[in-house]
Amino acid sequence: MKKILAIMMMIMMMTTLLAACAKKTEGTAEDTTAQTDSTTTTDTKEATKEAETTAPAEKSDVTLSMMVSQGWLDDKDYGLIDMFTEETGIQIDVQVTPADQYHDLLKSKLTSDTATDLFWSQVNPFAIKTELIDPESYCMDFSEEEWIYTMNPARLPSVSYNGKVYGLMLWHNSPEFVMVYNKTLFNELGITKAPTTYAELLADCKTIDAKGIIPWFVPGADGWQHQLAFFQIGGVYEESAPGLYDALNTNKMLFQDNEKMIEVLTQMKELSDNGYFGKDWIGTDSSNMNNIMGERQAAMVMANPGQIAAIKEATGTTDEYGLFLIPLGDNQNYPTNPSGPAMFANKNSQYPEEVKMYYEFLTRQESLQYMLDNSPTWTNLDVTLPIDQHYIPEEEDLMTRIDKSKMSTPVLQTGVKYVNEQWMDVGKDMISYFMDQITAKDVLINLDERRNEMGTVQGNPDWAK
Amino acid sequence: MNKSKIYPTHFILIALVLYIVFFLAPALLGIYYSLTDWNAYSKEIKFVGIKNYIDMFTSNQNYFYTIKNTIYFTVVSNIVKLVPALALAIMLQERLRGRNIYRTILFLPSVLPFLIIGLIFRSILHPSNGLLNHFLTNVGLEALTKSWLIDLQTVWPSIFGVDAWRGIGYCMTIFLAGLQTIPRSYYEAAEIDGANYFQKLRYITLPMITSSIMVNLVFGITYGLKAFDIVFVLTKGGPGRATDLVTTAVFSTYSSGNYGLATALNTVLFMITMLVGTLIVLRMSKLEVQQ
Repeated sequence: MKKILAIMMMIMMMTTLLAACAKKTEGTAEDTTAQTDSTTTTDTKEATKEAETTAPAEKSDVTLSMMVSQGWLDDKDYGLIDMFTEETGIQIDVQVTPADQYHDLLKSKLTSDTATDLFWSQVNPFAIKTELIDPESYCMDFSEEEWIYTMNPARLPSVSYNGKVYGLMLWHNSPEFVMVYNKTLFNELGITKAPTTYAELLADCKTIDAKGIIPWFVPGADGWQHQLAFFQIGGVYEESAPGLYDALNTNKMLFQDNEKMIEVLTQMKELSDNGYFGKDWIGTDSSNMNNIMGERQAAMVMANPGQIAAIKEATGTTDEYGLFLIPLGDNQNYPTNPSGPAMFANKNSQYPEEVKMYYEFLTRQESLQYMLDNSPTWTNLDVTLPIDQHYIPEEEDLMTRIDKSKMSTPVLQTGVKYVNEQWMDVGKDMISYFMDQITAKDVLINLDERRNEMGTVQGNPDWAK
Repeated sequence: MNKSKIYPTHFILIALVLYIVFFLAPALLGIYYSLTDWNAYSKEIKFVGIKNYIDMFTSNQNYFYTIKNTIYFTVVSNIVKLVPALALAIMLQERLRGRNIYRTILFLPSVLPFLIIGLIFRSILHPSNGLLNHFLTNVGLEALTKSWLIDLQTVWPSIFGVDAWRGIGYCMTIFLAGLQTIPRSYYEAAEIDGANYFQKLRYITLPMITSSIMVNLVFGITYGLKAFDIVFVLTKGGPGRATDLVTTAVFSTYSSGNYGLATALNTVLFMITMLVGTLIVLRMSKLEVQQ
C-alpha cells in the first residue's frame, strides 16, 4: 500500500513539474503583465480601476499590456489611454523601462515570446529589422489599415519592412535635439551671438563657466544623450567627405577613417575635461533638467524646441530662450530625421481586434489634436490630417536662419545602417574615451566592428564580400 | 529492519534525470552553440569552429578585460567580506550583552534583494545629491567627497563596499556556526599552558573552523564568478566599460543579438568556475581527511 502511495505521489510530482515547465499556450494579457518586472504607472492603474467600476456591461474587459522606454510617454499619452478606456472599456497596462535597458529587454522578451501586446521601438528605415530583430516574426501587419495614411509618408519607411507596414509613428517635425540656450543669460554675460563654430562654443563655455554656471548641461546618466550630440550632426561628416553615407552603407568606408568624426570626439572630450558639461555630468540624469535650466544652473542643453515652454512652465522663469545648431565640428547642418519612437503590436497577441481599435482611436483627428495640445515639449505633429499646429517663434526663427541646402542630409543614426542599433554601446565607449581608457579612434573601431558583425550575420551582401 | 542497508541505486534516477535535463544538457548545448554563428537575425545556424573564441580575445572591444574584471571582483570581494566577517563572528561569539541583536542586525542586509540595495546605494553615493557626500560636507569633511560610482578611482571600492555591506552578515553566520562547534575546554587548556589571545586564535580557532572557511570560500568564489546584479544595478558596467564583468558583457552581447559570441563568453566563465570549483573541492576533501 505504501509503495502504491509512493508511486502515485511520484507520478503526481512529475506531472506537476512537467506542467509547470510546459510552454504556455493559453493565457491572458494580464498574465503576461504579471510576469514582467516593470513599473506600472499609477495613473493607468487608477484609470483602469475607475473603468472597472464605471464601464457598462457591453464594454470590453480586456487589458492590453504595453511596454515603453522611459521618457517616450507623457501626460498626453496617459490621457489618451484613459479616454480610450472610457470609450471601449479596454484597459492598457503601461510598463515603463529605463531607457538604457529598454531595447535589450524588448529583444529578450520578443525572442522568448513574452512580449507585451503593444511595444515601442526607436526605428528608422534601416533599423526596423535590427531593432526589432524581425518584424515579420514578431509584429502585427497593419498594411491594410486605413489609419496608416495618417502618418506623413516620409515616416512610413521607418515602420515598414518588405513592403508591409508594422507600426505607427506619431512624432513631431521640429528641429529635433538642437541647442536650447538662455538668451537673457548669454546677453548678461556679454555673449551677443549664439555660437556657430566650435571655437566660438568653447569661448562661450569658458565665459559661462567662469560665472560658476554649467555651460552645457549633459545628462550622462540617461545613457543616450551624449552620443546624440555626435550622431545628430551627420551633415557635417558628409560635408567633410562627400559620398560618406553611401560608402558607409555599402561597406566601402569605415568610421575609423573619418577625420572629422575624430575631431568631433576630441572636441567633446575637451568640453568634458574642462568641466563644461558639469562636474559630475556622467552621473547626472535629466530628471531635474527643467529646473537646472530655468534656475540658471546651466546655460545650454541639447533638447527640442518645445523644451523652452516646459522650462518656463516648470520654473516660471521670465528669461528668454533661443535655439542654435550643435556647433561641434563647426556644424551648421539641420538635423533632418524622419525617425522616432513608434508603436508596434505583438503578432502573437491574444487580442488583435482590441489592439487595432487602439490604433484606430489614436489616429482620429480629435485624438491627434489632444495629443499635440497636451504635449509640453512638442510644437507640432507630423501627420496628414488637418490639426492646429503650435510652432513657436524661436523655432521659426531658427528655421529661417538655416540654408535649405543644409537640410538634405539626415542625421547619422538615420542615414547610415547599423548605427542606431548600437546606440548604448557607442555611448559607453564614448564615456570610456572621456575617461582616458580608450582613444577616440577606438570608439570608431568598436563601432565598425559591431557594424561588421551586424552586416555579416544579417547576410548583407556588402558585408559578405 | 536492517538500518545499515544502502538505498537502491534507482532512488537517484529522478534527481539524475532532472540534473541531466536541466543542467548538464543545456550546458553542453551551450558549448555547442558557442561554436556556431547563432544570432537573432538569421534562422540558419552555421558551425564556425572557434571563431567566437578568437573574436573574444582579438576584438578591439576587449572581452578579455571583462574576464580580468570578473576575477578581480571575485578575489577582492571575498577578501573584503571574509576578513571582517570572521572578526565580527569572533567578537559576537564572546559573551556580549545583546549579541543576538547585533547578529540579527548584521545579518539583515543579506535578506535584501540586490535591486533594492543597488537603488538605495546609487542614491546614497550620488555625487551631487547623495546622502554620503552631503554627510561628509556637513561634518566638515568636504575634501573626502567623491564621485563614488563615476570616478575610476572610487568605483570599484564603492562596489566592494556595498557588496561587503550586504554579504558580511551572511559569511559571519557561517563562521559563527563553525565557532560554536569548538569545545571551550580547548581554550581552557591553552590558557593553562599560558597561550595568549592570538596564539589561541592561530592554533585553535582557525584550524577548527577550516570547514566554515571553506564553505564561505566556495560560496564566495562561485558568487563572485557569476556576479551580475550588484554591478549591473550600481554601475551597469560603467563608467564606460570600467566595471564590466563577463556576465554583464554576456547580457549586452546577447541583447545585441549575437548569441554565439554570448554563449562563448558564458562557456569561458563556465570553464573557469568549473576549474576553480574542482580545485576547491579537492582541497576541501584533503583537509577533511586530515581532520
